[in-house]
Amino acid sequence: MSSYWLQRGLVAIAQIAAVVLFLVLWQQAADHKVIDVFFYSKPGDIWNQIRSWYDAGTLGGDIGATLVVLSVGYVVGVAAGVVIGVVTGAFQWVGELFDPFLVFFNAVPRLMVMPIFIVWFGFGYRPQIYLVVTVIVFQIAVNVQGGLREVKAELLQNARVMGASRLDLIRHVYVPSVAIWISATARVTVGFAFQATIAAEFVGASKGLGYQVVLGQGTQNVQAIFAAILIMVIVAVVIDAALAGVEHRATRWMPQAST
Amino acid sequence: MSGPGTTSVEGRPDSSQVEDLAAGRGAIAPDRSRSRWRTPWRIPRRRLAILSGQVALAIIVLGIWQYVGTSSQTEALVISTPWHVAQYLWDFASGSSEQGSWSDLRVTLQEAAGGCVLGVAVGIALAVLASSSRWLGLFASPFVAVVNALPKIALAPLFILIFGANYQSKVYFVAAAIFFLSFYNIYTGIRSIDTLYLRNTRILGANRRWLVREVYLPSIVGWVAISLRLSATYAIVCAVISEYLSANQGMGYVVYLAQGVNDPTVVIGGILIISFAALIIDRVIVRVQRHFTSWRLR
Repeated sequence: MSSYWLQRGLVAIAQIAAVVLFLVLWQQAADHKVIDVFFYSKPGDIWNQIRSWYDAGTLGGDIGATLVVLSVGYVVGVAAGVVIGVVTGAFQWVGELFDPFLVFFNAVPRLMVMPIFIVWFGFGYRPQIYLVVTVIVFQIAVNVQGGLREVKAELLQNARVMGASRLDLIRHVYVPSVAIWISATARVTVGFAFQATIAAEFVGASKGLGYQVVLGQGTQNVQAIFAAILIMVIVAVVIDAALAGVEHRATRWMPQAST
Repeated sequence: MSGPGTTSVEGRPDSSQVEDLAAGRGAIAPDRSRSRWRTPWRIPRRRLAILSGQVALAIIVLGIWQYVGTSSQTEALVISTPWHVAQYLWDFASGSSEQGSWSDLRVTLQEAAGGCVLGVAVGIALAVLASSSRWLGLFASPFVAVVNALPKIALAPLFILIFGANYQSKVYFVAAAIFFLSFYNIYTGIRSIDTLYLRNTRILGANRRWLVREVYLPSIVGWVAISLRLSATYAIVCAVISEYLSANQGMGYVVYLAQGVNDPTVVIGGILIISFAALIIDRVIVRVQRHFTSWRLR
């Protein structure tokens, strides 16, 4: 046990040292004109950029704008996906009817349809949220369909034998199985939603982290690009860690896959 | 008690027979034959109903779109009509369209293909390197996790700024995005190789070269094949989005220009063309994969 912690400690020290070394080398190389600051920036400039955003009070607004699009888009997308998935999963003929359309839209790379939404809805939150919804809704629908189909016939029959009504079945069998699918795939889905948020902010926004990246490109301000990407990574890692916790809680009762 | 060989004890029913009996199969033969009588008539009629329903649905949606699109001048400027989009697609295909041509599609697909090949190649190399030593894997894991959480799309402006608004910057950006994707897939793939195989092969006297040839290489090829389908579509998306940001050719540029002048026909038509190209490429990859994995047990 103690050798395990010793190992972990050594690795952690090596990791921190690597990060520090990388930052110092980057800064030194930029200071001594080995690399061009105009293209590659340097840690000090990136830090100053974040500071200046913070001092100007726009940092919170940009993070907030991105989070609004992400969370509203995710919630609406999940709700719409559940409705589509339940309707197509519960009624076989509806499922067969819509199947080729769902397959088509699921295979089309939807991350790039933002220009259509801009032409339709103009700029602002609305088209951005629609893009996030469009990107995730079909995945959710397919997952929910799968979740409904995976419900074991045995379980249903047992519940019926014990006198479960249709409502009981929905409450105690169907809803939990769909909820498990959604929470188990939440990390992947939110990852896609985050990509969609950034892609939407590239083309049709005047606020948000994605917009700051594009603005940095337009004004040839490379430290703004690095700074915005850095904040994005932090936001993404925090969200991912939170969802990992949720996923762990949601699937804790499941038998672990044997290895 | 249950080791290999015990199931073949004489007189003991085969396990599949037991299941058949338990499920009532085989016992009620007449029922089966009756259903065999019905199926040839029932299923096609149902298929036909579903198929005509699908066609009707498509016609209704397109009809409503056409009706709303022609109802007023403003609507035509916002949502266009299916007829106009079809006309644009026809013009594009025959090469007489002024907005976009086959060479634009070719440029976009070349950026995607070039980036995809480069990214996957570097991804394989680094994944093999990272999984070659346990220490390296431990060391790299938090960095890998952070990079995996990063939305790769966000890197597009950086590449455009560093390499310019040209063909190369797109290839490099696509390569970077695909690299992160394929590295993660292949790295986790290699790590998920069953240690049982490794130990068994070692017990059979395998040296390192053997292991690489017989265990690692086949599994890496499998993971590359699986990640290729994902990568191909993603590469096209990345190429198109970086063309939205800055370009002077390619389908993304065509769509971007049309969006700038509020031309919904070309925006919708252009995105449809890219989608069809992506769909065809996806189908081809699936076909090829099926061809090469048909020996596998499902």
